[in-house]
Amino acid sequence: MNEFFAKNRLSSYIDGALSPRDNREMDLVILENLAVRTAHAEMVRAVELVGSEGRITPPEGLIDEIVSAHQDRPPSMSRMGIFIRLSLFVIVVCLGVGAYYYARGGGERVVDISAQRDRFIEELVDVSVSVAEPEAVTVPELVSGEATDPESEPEIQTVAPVVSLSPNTGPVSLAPSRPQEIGPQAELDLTSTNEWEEIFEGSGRGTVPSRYRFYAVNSGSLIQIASLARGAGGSLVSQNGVAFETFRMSTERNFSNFVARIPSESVASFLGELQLLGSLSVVPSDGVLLSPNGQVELGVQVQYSP
Amino acid sequence: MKTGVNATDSAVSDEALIELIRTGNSRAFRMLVQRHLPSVFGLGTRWSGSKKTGAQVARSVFNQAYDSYIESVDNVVSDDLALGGRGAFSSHLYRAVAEELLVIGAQSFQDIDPNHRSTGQLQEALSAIEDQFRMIVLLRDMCGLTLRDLSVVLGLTKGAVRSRLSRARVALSREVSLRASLADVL
Repeated sequence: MNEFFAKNRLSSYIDGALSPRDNREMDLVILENLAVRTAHAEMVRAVELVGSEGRITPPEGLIDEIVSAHQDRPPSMSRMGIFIRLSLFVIVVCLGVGAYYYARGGGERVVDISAQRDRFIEELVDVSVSVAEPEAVTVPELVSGEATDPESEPEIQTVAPVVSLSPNTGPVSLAPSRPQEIGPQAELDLTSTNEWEEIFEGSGRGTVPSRYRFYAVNSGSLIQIASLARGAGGSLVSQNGVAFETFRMSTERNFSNFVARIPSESVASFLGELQLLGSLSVVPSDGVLLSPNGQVELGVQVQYSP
Repeated sequence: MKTGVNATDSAVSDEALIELIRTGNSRAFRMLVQRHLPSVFGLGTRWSGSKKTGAQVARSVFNQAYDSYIESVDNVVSDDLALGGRGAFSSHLYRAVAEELLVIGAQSFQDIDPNHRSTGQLQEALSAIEDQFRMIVLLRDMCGLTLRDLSVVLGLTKGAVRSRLSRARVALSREVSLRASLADVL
């Protein structure tokens, strides 16, 4: 083996990576060739130097520093973990936004009920609205009484019912005995009604229910009332006396006041049918307002549920 | 919590320690760092000539190893890439060190004790040779990686590893001898 090949094999010779035959040849060359022997000595010296002097002891505290850095921070996630957590986050955010808008009722939303009203009216126009007379109540026959102030209120008279029920007899239900057979309301969505509230206004000798607050959950309830009033031969007017028109109801201004003008002979049936929509109890007494055309005026306030 | 292993028990493989770390055993991570830190720090320091850089590299590499290897459930290191007798974690660790050091390069400022003669000579000699030579010599003669390990870490064939290691040793021995001769003269 010549000097060139021997020097090239020194590294493998030191590592013991040569075959036994090549190893023996290298032993001979190192003994006989001074240059190879010198190169071998220098290489062994360098390798031993790196092995013995190369290692440097890490500074104290470096281990603690590295370990504590991982104890103080949350563990990282795999790609799948990141994807799952991100997906959950998006779902939670969507649910939160949805819940917010659901609770808020969609914000300042204006409900146009004209189309809905027309549909209801078309459905109800051919349906008889005759209601069985409540057995427990004699329909009050209203007659004109003495006007309290004919000049200031020329169009409205205070009347006292000819047949009046004594307030002492307690609330008398105007509900028909077979409510499910009465009127087209039975086919309406009564779930829109959840509560009636009577506003008793002190008048004359007793307490007269002349105004009613109707809690409704949607505009369909208002249309129901309008239909009932029309079926009873009456109409709805706004508080300033203008004929009732389909109006736009805002969920921000969640109530609407109007007046139901009902012929006196239909008051009982109208109230009875209204009662079917909720839990109305009527205690007729004196002090019912009568409009000039002989119709009774009932103040009704429709209010959406908060 | 009972770890089931002793910190000085070298019979416990890296992979066993990693499994313990994944179950929340913080002592296992300390043991793993303790096992590899001298090599990682020494390699970084000798490569750069700076203890500060060595410590910085050690922090960075263990951080990276924790995130991308220990914590990552879907990491797969084939047996071909696992270092013989050391396991896949060593392979991952030394590859990370090598990649980071090759980016850093040797530092102009060296804070290894210059007053220590042999250490100073060694450091000067190491700094005088090429980066790829310095890397393979340190991995082989300081960290003790086998030729197969070097092939895995450096991404070379075994023939290329032998050739590069031979040339690196020749270059280093020349530099060491030169400095020893100068020291004798002076």
